Amino acid sequence: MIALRQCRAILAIQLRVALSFRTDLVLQLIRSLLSIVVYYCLWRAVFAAHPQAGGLDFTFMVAYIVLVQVVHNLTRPPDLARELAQGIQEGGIVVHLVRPYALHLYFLAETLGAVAWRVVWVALPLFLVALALGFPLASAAQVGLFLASLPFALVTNLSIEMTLGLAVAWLRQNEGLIQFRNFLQSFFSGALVPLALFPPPLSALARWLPFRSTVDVPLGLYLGYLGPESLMIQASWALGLWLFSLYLLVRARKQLTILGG
Amino acid sequence: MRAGIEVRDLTRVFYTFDRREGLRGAAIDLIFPRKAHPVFALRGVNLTVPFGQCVGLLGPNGAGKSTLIKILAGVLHPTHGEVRVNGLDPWKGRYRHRRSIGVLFGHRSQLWWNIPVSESLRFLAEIYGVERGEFRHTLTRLRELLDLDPLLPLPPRELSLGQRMRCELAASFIHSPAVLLLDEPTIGLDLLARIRLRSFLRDLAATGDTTILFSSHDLLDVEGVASRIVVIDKGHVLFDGTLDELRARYTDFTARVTVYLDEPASWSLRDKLSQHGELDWDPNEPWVLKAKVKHVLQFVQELTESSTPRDVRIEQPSIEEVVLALYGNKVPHDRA
Repeated sequence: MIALRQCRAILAIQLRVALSFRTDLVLQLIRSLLSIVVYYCLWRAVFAAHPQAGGLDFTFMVAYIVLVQVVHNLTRPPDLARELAQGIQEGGIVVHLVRPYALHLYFLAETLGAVAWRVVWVALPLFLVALALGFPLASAAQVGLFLASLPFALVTNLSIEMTLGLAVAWLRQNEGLIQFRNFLQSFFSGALVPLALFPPPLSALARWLPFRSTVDVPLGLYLGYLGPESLMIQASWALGLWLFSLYLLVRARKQLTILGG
Repeated sequence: MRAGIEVRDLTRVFYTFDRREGLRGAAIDLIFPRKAHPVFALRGVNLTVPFGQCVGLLGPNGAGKSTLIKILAGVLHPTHGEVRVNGLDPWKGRYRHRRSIGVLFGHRSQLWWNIPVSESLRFLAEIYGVERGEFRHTLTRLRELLDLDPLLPLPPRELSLGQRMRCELAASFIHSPAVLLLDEPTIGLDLLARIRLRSFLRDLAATGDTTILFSSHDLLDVEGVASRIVVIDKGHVLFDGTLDELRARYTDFTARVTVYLDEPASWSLRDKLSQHGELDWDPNEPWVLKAKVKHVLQFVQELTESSTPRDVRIEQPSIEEVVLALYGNKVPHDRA
């Protein structure tokens, strides 16, 4: 019960904090819209040259690129890997460690706070723009599966962020790791190019990595190229990575070294 | 009697690596394993603080004060030894322990930088599960004790350090913790702000409802506030007793006396005065004498008898000098 009250309080703080950075929200909307426009033009050129490339059609592609942005905005945590790294390196993390909540709960609430604003300011306007562009509406079952997969995508993202952040306790810095993850994730999640267009060895590799949980699975469920069983795989990744990051936190706390204040 | 804080045989070791020097050294470090060697932040510390007592923890930089407070707060894990705060193990009874303590780190802020202090305090009360009525009651009391009214509507980024520290204290105390741990709460504060902070702690200590442990490297901070003083250095407890007991040894501490003379003094005066301690003499500079407190009065007497100084300034012994005096003649090799 107390955890719920805490969660609500942290969420309220995050909503409050986000409100003092309104420019960021506007920029996110512009960035997402620009991204859709750029990809739209790009794929139109591709399909003009090769109709039915990879067995896909242009209507599918338009839906795909809009959904990538919608899913990003609804499941991406704030820059926690860097925030956590800074807290561990400079000792600011102690402020959290002396309070009666789990660090994971705090970062989950922080993520939900960031996402809550994006629902209103980014995802909704995006969706309206998409409808105007002729975005295909899926069946109720597909929409249901899509919505169910979003929390798992969010938890997967969050766990990866936490893992990268906590790695600082051993590596002393994580910028290289973050850049490496950014590259892997943008590629193997399906955010840049649908996994269906990958050459077979790469698409097989993508199937074994957790990144596809964050984009490809929700999109597949909405667009109907994946069935409910992929929701189970996604849930397993989310749970596994979450537990792993919890385990890392316990280990990191034990060997935390913060001297002099 | 219930103990607020119990520490038995507490040791904390950190490991640092020998780093080879320069670019070439760094390159060799990349390939060959570096030698780790232990640094003892705390060695076998014992401390029992009865419920409701106010203890001043004194020591120079790097003495282990911060490490001790962080272990009591459950942030750092002890290498060896037992710790109980309010009867709870900070490491195992995590959330119950956290709810019973209030912590302030002098060089960190627990307030949200961009939102008004009043909102930060309300959020913290929610996080600690403080009931609405209780929160209002505590806030009223804190507003009075810390003069918060003009500060509450402002975000911390618009506050001075002294103002912010008052708000930080309020934040540490918003859930009325049984134990208050303050790590260098006076760091960087001017005299007025320090006096204010001391009077808050004195009022709080007088109620006897809160066990307080606060660290400082300034003797001035503990006077009239802490009923008990613990001095640590190099991870050892050097002194544990009342302020009066520390004062009894005070006359052995070294004070600095600076003398401003208008005309050059005679050699005989200089020789006479240097019997009292270590005299730094330079014809163009004011004289500086380092002497035990008990010899200072006699020095000043002799000085005024045989010359007419423009000004004489006497400085309090610093914590480093107190620590040296507490070691007595057995100054350890790594100090001195």
